[in-house]
Amino acid sequence: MKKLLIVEDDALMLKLYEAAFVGAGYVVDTAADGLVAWEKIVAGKPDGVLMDIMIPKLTGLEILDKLKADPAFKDMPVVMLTNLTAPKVVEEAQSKGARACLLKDRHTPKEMVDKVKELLFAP
Amino acid sequence: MALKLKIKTKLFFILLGVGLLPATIFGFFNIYNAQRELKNEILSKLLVLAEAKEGQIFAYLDFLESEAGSFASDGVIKSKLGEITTQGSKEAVDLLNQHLILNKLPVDKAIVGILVMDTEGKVVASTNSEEVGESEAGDDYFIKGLKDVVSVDLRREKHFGLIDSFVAAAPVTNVESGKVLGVIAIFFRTEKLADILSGKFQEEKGALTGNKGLSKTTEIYLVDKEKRMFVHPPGNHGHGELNYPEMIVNTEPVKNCLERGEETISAYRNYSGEEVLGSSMCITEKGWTLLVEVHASEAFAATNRTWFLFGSTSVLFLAVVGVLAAFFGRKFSDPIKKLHEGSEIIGEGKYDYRLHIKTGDELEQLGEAFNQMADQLKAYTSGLAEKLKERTKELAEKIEGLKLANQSAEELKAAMLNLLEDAKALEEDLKKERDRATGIISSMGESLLVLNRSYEIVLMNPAAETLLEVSAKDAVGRPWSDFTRVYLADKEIPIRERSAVKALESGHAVTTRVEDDHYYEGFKTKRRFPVVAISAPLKSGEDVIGVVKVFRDATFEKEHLTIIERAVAERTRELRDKNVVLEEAKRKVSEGWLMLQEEKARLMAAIQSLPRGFILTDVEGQILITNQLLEKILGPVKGGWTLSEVQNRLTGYVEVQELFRKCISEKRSIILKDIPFVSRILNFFITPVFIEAGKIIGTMILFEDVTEAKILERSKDEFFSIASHELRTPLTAIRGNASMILDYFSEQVKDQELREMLDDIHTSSVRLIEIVNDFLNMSRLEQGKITFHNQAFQIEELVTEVLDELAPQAKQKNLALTLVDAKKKYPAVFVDRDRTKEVLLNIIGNALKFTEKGEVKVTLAPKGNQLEVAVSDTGRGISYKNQRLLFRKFQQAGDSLYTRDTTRGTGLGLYISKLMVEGMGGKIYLVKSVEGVGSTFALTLPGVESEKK
Repeated sequence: MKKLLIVEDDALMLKLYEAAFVGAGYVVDTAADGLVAWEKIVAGKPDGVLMDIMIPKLTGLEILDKLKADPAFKDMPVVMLTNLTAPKVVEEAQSKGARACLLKDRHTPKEMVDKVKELLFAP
Repeated sequence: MALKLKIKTKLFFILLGVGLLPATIFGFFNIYNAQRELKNEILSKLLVLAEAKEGQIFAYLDFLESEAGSFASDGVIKSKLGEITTQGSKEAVDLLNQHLILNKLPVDKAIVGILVMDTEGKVVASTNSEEVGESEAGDDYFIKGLKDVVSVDLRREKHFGLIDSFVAAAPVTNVESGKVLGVIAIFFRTEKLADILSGKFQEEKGALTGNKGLSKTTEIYLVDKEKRMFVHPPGNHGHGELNYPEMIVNTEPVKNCLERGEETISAYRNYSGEEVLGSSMCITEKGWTLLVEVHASEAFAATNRTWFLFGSTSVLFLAVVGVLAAFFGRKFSDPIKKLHEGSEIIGEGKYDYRLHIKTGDELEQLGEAFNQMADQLKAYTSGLAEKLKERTKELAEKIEGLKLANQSAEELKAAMLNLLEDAKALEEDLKKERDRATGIISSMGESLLVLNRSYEIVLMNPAAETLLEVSAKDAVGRPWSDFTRVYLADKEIPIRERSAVKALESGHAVTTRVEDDHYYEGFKTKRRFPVVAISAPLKSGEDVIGVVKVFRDATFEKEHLTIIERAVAERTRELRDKNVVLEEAKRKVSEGWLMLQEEKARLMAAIQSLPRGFILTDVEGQILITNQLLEKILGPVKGGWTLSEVQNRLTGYVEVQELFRKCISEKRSIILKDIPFVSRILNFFITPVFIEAGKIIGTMILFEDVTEAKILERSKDEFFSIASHELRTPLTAIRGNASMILDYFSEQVKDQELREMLDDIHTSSVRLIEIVNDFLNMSRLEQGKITFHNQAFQIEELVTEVLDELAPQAKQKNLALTLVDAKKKYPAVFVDRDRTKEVLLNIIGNALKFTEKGEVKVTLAPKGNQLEVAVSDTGRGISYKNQRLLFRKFQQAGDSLYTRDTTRGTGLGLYISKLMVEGMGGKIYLVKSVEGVGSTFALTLPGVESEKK
């Protein structure tokens, strides 16, 4: 079973995504801010990370930088989430090495599960 | 180069060498040695003489000094001097003088005078009373004489009538005390010394050694320490008395003596540059040089004679040897010379020449062999010479014949040339005359015509050609009346009455004046012009053979008066008119001034109440008008505004002066927006002020304080984005949960009603998100915060993509949705692909939404550099009244704000589409719409080509 870390500061959204991915058969760990997320990445070594950009303490982009700079984690697949429609943010996330940057309001939880499966764990 | 000498010459030189050279060398050495010995002999003799003279001089000097000593010890002199120096006795002076004259002067004939001096050097007594009272304090002899007996030569110091003299001086001492009372000095003539040198003295004294035996050029003399000759006795030297005090002797022995104290004995040049043998003695004590010299010419007289003898003997010998050498040389060389000459003569072709050598030796045999060779040569060449002679004669005859023929031809040619030259000269003279006449006529300012008796033109000049508009080439030989018509005022003058005819018939000149009112008419243009003319008969003897006409265009004269009159009238009228205009202008100005004042007052009021800081400048940048608001914006000012003051306030924010210059030079307005000035935000505006014809008379500058407006705008923007962002997160959660239930847990919701309620929640949340997104998009578009990523792509591909996405919706309503000519290729467009897709989705989506039956079709068409996308539907159409509300914010065609169907969207769709299309450089518009029939919307998008431009 794939181990997925979901990072999201909005409790409702976190709960929603957790339910969706658990329902789809993933082992899900969660983090509500950047620091906790980094600790859990280091300690738990998840198979993939689904991470909001706008989170407290460390932003999603900062964590992405740390991952890519560390040889132990640079191959860990990451999908970013955002509510911002500015194309600049999406481009920046992709240039830093994220597999994709998805707009939260464009996809239903089901679609999100399908996308993540395709982007992070496709054979 | 080899020296080419004849045998004779060679022999001559050999004989000369053998005979003369040894004798010459031997003779030369003998004479040379003899001369050297003679020189040594003479020098040693001179040395002996010099030494003898030196000894005599010393002896004489000793004698003088002893005499001075004896004078000094004279009791009378001592006692009188004692009296004079101690008591100043006048009597003693006289007595002493007497004593000197009577008792001392006669002692020696050589004494010229005696001086007695006190210790101060003052002469107290003398043999000559004139000397008494003189001071000798600085004199050498006095200074030395105070201490001891001395003898000194006095140079250039006059005493007792002598310039040069010789002094012996001695101290006079007190008998008892031995104290020095003064000095006695005895002056001698130098003649005595001269006598010693010349030997006269010795002879007088009966000595055996005089100067006998000295040669006549021998000179013996003394030179003092200043190189001056001071004793030079007239002797046997042949020079007579020398003015020796003036003579400077700068010779080698004098220099040797004075500089090194060395005595000389050698040959050198004396004071007058003559070669002498000499010997010197240095009398170092006095700085004198004693010289004994004999002229080399005399000394070597004997050897010189020997040299002469030797030379003449050599010459004689040379002559004898020469004659002998020549004789023998000739004897040997003559036959050889003859042989040489003979061969040269034969070589020239004179084969008859024969040699005659009778020496009886080998040379004679050689001569005979030569003669035989000459015989053979002569025999061989005589035949050849005969033929040559004949041939030469023939040629000479032929040449003679040719010469004669040539001579006569030359004479003929010369005669013809003379003839031709004469003819040419004549022709040239004629031509010159003709040219001169033609020149005069052509250059005349007046027109000239010559007519013959039949009034045919014989000649016309260029001025006439111009005026009558005809060329001489065409006119000459034809009647004058064919070309020119003549008028009196408007009426043509008949030919018989024309002035040319009158002149010819009457035989007198006829003059036509301006007042006669005659006109000529140009041939081509028929231009009529007034004319003044003279027609004169052309006479040859008594016969009139033609007429000469001289005329000119008199237009100017004719019109002159009329023009002046007209001009005066015109001016008068103009002046009157101007006066009226001036009056009118005055009136208008006074009216205008009042109006201007009113206008100005209104303008000032307007400016003062303007909600902008206001500045009006002239072109130089002087500020003419400002309003009070300017001070509120830029701060209070003292002493009025200047442009540099305004600049000071705004430095770092706005370069006012630079913008002012730019505005004037580029003649355009400049606007700067949102300038953060201290804590405010300003808009700056400068515009040139024109009057008619684009002339700039100044600028107007406005400052607008937009601080409040900016703050308001910013808070609105912030509200929009924050609200939108904050709204979306919970909305996404609601929608997510609703869709989760519908997607994963629908079987568990059994109740139909509950299921519908969940559906409603989901639908509403979807719509709510759309609304929020629309708001956010609109807000960002309005603020220009969206950047368009324009790129080139094929629009037909994007349309197909959009149609595919919307196909399910069309199928649901059973509508046909097509792209016309789907296979066709179109020029690429250059816009933001994603934004264009949103616009297309909106427009085609709308068409589907408002159509219940029929079809929606998309047509593509290039329009210039743009591409038009037209979307037509068969829907319900839009009423004319509502068409103008399309593309407005919150408007949906057909709905009022309160009655609109809120289930169908925000009404922002077209407005957002419009903002996007225009942001990408395109346009969106309604092509047509008929209610109940359908609508066509279109958008044009810039193509790649237009983008390049």
